Amino acid sequence: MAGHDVIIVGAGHNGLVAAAYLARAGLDVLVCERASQVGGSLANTEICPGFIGASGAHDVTLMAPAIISDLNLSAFGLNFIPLPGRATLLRDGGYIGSYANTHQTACDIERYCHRDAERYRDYERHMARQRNLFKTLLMSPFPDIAMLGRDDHHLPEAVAKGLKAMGKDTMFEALTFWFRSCKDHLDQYFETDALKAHIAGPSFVGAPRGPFSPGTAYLLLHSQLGAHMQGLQGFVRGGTQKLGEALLSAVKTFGGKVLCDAEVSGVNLAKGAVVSVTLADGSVHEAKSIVSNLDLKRTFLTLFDWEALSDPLLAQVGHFRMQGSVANMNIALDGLPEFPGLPDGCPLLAGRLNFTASLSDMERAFDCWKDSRTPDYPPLEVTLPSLSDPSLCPPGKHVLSIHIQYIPNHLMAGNWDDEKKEALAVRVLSLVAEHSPNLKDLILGWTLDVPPDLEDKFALTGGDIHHGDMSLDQLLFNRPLPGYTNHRTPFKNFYMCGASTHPGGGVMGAPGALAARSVLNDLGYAGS
Amino acid sequence: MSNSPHPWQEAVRPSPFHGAAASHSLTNEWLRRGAYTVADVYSTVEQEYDALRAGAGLVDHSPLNKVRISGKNARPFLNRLLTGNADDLPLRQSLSSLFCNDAGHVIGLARLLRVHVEEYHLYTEENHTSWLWDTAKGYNDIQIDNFTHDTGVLGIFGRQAADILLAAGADGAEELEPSHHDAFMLRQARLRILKTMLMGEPGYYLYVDPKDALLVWETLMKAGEAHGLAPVGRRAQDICRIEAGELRAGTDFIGALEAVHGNRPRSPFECGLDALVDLEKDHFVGLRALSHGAHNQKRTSIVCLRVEGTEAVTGARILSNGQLIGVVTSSAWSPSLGHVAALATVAAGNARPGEVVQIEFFTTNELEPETRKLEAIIVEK
Repeated sequence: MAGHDVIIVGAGHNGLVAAAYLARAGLDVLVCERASQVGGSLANTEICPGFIGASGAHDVTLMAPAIISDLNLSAFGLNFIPLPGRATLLRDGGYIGSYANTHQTACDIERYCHRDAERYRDYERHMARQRNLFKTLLMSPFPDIAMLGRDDHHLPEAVAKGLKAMGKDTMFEALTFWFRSCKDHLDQYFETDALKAHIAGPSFVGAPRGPFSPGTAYLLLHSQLGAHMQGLQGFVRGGTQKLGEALLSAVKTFGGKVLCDAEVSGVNLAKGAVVSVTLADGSVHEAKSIVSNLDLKRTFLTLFDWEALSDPLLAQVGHFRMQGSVANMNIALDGLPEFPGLPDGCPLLAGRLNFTASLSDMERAFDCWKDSRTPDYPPLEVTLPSLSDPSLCPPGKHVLSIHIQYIPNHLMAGNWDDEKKEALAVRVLSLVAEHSPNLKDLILGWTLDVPPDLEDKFALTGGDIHHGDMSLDQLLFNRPLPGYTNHRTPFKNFYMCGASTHPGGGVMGAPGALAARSVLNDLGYAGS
Repeated sequence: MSNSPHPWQEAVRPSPFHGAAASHSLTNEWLRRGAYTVADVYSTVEQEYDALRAGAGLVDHSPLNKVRISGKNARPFLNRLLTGNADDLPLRQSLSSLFCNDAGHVIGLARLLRVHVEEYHLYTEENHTSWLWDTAKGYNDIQIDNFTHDTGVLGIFGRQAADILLAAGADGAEELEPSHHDAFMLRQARLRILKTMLMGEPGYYLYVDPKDALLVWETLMKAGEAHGLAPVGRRAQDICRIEAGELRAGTDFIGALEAVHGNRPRSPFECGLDALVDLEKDHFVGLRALSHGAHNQKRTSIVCLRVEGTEAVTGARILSNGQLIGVVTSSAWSPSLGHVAALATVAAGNARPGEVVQIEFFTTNELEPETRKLEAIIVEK
């Protein structure tokens, strides 16, 4: 069979982003996807006939604007609905809100604590400085830190410039910030427990760590990386699957080919270089470069013969932490659920809702995860996407999506089964119903995916939606493994483009774009 | 307001004087300042400028940030904070000063009023309350609270200001010495009046309870009828400010706390505010950095420019011999100087008065893109 320039294993969003960039540069690109549709965990799910839910990500606030414009995704049908903000509903009937506008958020906090409102401006400035540095890291391949200063290994110019421009104070702030726990970081600014939980809430979705765990302050930043675009990005009209479809159209328009129902069962080596892939149907496809969108463990442990993996690599891949911690629930509703905690007309109802009012409550729920138990009070992130996108369900009906945090992959009490899932669903519904009295009367149907379901559906090892814990030992120059930067691997012609690589998880597209850059460089398309 | 608005409706507040200001606004041109909107232009910029320079102008300074600092340790705290000598500031007097961070970078310009033995009011362009709390850690018996929304600030500036105040019935205010202040009655309103200079004009600041705001405004406007008093919006104020070479935080320099990029903050010397820094003081925040040769390590200078042409050139690039050396931060046609006056930041060493530089900016002429190149001369402040 004639060889391709590039074969991409897996049509998740990062695989498609990489494919689109490579095809746009004129390469012959083939994407092989195991499922019968592209987009991976961007897939929509039908809750019951006529009701569309999100099977993975609820919104795509992190998607890099540069990628959206580079690939002209709007022309391929991508249409964002801005998120108005977030609210944490409190048990006493009140709420804390955040908005795109810092001043408005400060006004909201002012109702609870004058001091915290003043501090919030400070906090936002601090995050802006960290974000400013990190922005340059995000879209730059990270250099091999062990090689820095040798030969021609230098920090990318943008990063060096960013570091130089940040000044001593911000540098010191950054150095402590990276190592600190979320709790310690927020304690420096705020007094109100509920406010701290409100700020931390969305950062921990999918993170197998609690707010007291060291290094989690970084998660506050990661979830904010799209913040400079706040108000512009949010839900995808028609459901997150539309992003996958837009990427697919882009790939095809640029001349790339996409094969669905085409699982790659392995890669074939010749003299230490990867030269072809074998599909489940036994066919072999050759390519100059092969790029894996699979997570680190699946990439090396399922595509390669283990004998081919050198000793430290096999162990390092084995030790890479991938642990599921989030379950995903979608509910079809016969009408609009009331949330009396929010005043009439509050725009935040169309945003994200949380209910956890202290970091200690979050940490206690995390304790259960460590013990392989489902927490009694799992932190929830609720969205009502149908409020801003009526196309998701029949008129007058609604869809409610919930991320349930700290749900373990393995349970002490045995494997997940329908009974255990039903119990979790009932528990979650009653927790939401505490804030929404009419919710239970409206339910037409629901779906629940716990980590093993996410692993089955989307090939996420352990059900980890981030393709690997985002702690400092697995981030930046350590992602996916120390020394394996620039999305290259020890095998010639073989690259990785999934969220196991820098800069990590969340529907960002940056790993795919960076991997494409490395492939283009190596194939002599420098400057593309 | 009886029905306090929800936070999502509360992005911008009307100033306490808004009702009166709105009735004088012929243009309906408003501008956001901090948490407030204030008038950009009431009638025409020229009329307002003329009123301020020839008669007097009434300006709404309510967006100023106001912080009350009280307690036994207020005095040592403030003396350690400000680069000027606040230690022996007498009661009912005020001090114009600035404050820096440890690195000797300007955080903001400040006006400090001592209102009681152990109570001071600090007025700044931007909000630094959170930083003040941090800086006050380690002091006991000190209270710092932001009362921005509890006080309206009205300025009356121009050569007729004193007569207008007298005609309005603020008995005794005309006897205030410059930079002195005291409590007065104006009709039924209790207020504090400070005598000072602003925009090159003598005048007064009136610190007013918001409930008396409209009364005070109307009383002054009535008393000022015969003296050429007019409300003056931000645009005309800006012309006078630029003519007088007064910097504004956030416009002509970026405060050290606000800066996102580490290389943006400026030392007082780089801002040309040497006069406000007392290096002989025992201590203030930033003194160590500033006394270690910061004088000689200026990276940039703020200069005044005289620009050819008639149009404002804010944001324009400044070149010298083809090299980019700086940027214009504020500019306006000055009716009294008869040329465009500008404030600009330029690389140190290019700040010599008399030096000719080139100004370059992009604009459109009836939608035709143009690159405009003008000459400018650096002038003495």
